Amino acid sequence: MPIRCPSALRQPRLTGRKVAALVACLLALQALPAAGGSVTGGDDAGSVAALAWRNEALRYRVELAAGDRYLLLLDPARELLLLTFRGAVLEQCPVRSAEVGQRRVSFISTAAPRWYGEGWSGGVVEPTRVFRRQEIVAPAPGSSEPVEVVVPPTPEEACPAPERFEIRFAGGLAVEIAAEETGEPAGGWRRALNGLRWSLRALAPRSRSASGGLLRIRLTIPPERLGALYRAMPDGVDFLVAPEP
Amino acid sequence: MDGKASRFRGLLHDAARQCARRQVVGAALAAVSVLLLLAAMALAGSGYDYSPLPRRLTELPAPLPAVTSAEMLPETPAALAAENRRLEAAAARLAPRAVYIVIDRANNRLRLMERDQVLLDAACSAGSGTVLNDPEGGRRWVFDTPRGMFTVQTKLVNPLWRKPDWAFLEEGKPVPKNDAERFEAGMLGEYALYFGDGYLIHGTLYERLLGRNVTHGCIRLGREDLRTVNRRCPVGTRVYIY
Repeated sequence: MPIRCPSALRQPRLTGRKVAALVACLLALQALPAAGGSVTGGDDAGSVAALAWRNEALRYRVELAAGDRYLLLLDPARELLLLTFRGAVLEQCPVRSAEVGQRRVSFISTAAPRWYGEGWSGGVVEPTRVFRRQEIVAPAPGSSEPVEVVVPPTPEEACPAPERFEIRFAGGLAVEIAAEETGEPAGGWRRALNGLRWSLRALAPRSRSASGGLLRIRLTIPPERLGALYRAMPDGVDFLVAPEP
Repeated sequence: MDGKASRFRGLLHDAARQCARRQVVGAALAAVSVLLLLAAMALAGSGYDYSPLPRRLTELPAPLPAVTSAEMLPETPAALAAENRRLEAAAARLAPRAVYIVIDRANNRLRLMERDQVLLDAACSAGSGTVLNDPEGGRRWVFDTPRGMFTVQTKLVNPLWRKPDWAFLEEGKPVPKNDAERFEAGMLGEYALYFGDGYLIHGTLYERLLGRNVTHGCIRLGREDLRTVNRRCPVGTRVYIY
């Protein structure tokens, strides 16, 4: 009696029909990513929702870029804060840390509005920047009075940088931007007092009245960038936390 | 005897009254203390609960809610992906493709950029914001640099400055009737890039004032930076001012 190898018994036979089915399966698998784009697993509801949010954020960016509105864009994936106008990056600043805070009153957290992929408009910078406009009267022609030449102050002198500032948006969001701690031991008391002052300011009635003040995004950036960003931030700026592409 | 008794009763009465007053005061103080304690506790429990901001949507602690907005339809993955590609393309079309100029008026910086890379970051001088009043002619000038998007329309080499009326009035000189008397050479440096509405990016004789808001609306640059800008920016280059 001939001995048959057991493995030979398990060896599948590739018939024509099986090969055709295998090819069809491979083609179908290959077609899936093309149909789904960046969505992995078409049935994954989370990915679909994420893509929907990305689209909403993108739509907002395109809408703003087509008009004359400035957009402050927080890109958490790249750890960047970008100021854009008409689709062009005007300024970009590295973000050292980013936190999102939900309002709590007497130990009870309030329902915060959604912040991801959501566009916020009408940004108001606090503390208010004061730009003094000098008004002069032209001397009479032929006047013997010497024309007074005044060297204007530098931007740093004219509008000194605060230790931190915030931009309040309609709808309940405040974005607080502070300088990254440099670890210098001096000024501990000053920092503590400043922190207390800002905590009280956040609690002030105006912060939770019209705008709601339900949500705060707290960012730290390199200290040398804070003043320039504070001075240059356009009034009425829009804000968006950009979902990763 | 009666007098002593009545005085004793009076003393007792006064003591009782004082005691009652003290009790009231004590109770009031206790109530205020409790209220203050409650207020302090409420205050201590108020503020914001912070958590690190997730870097990606998928890192959010709560699952993403489904989009219910009518704008979000259709909701199939393929349609969403197609919409995503369309929006990405639309955003890319709006962004500048070539080198562009960014001017930060508040900090007096001019940046030359390509995509989001900074090719040059230079000190410049933007408008002073000063207001000049001409009481005789009843005219008024505001020396601001405009905000917005512009394009380089013309480029000039060794430009002549055609002094406007305000330049004469500011110095207390009469405005010349002969136009030829308005032209002055060397004031604008080696190059000038005209970006519309009478505004230029040009050189200056007063490089020590770069970084300060001193101009009548134009943008002044240092000699070397102006050479770079002139070399890298052809006519049609976009200029963004904020």
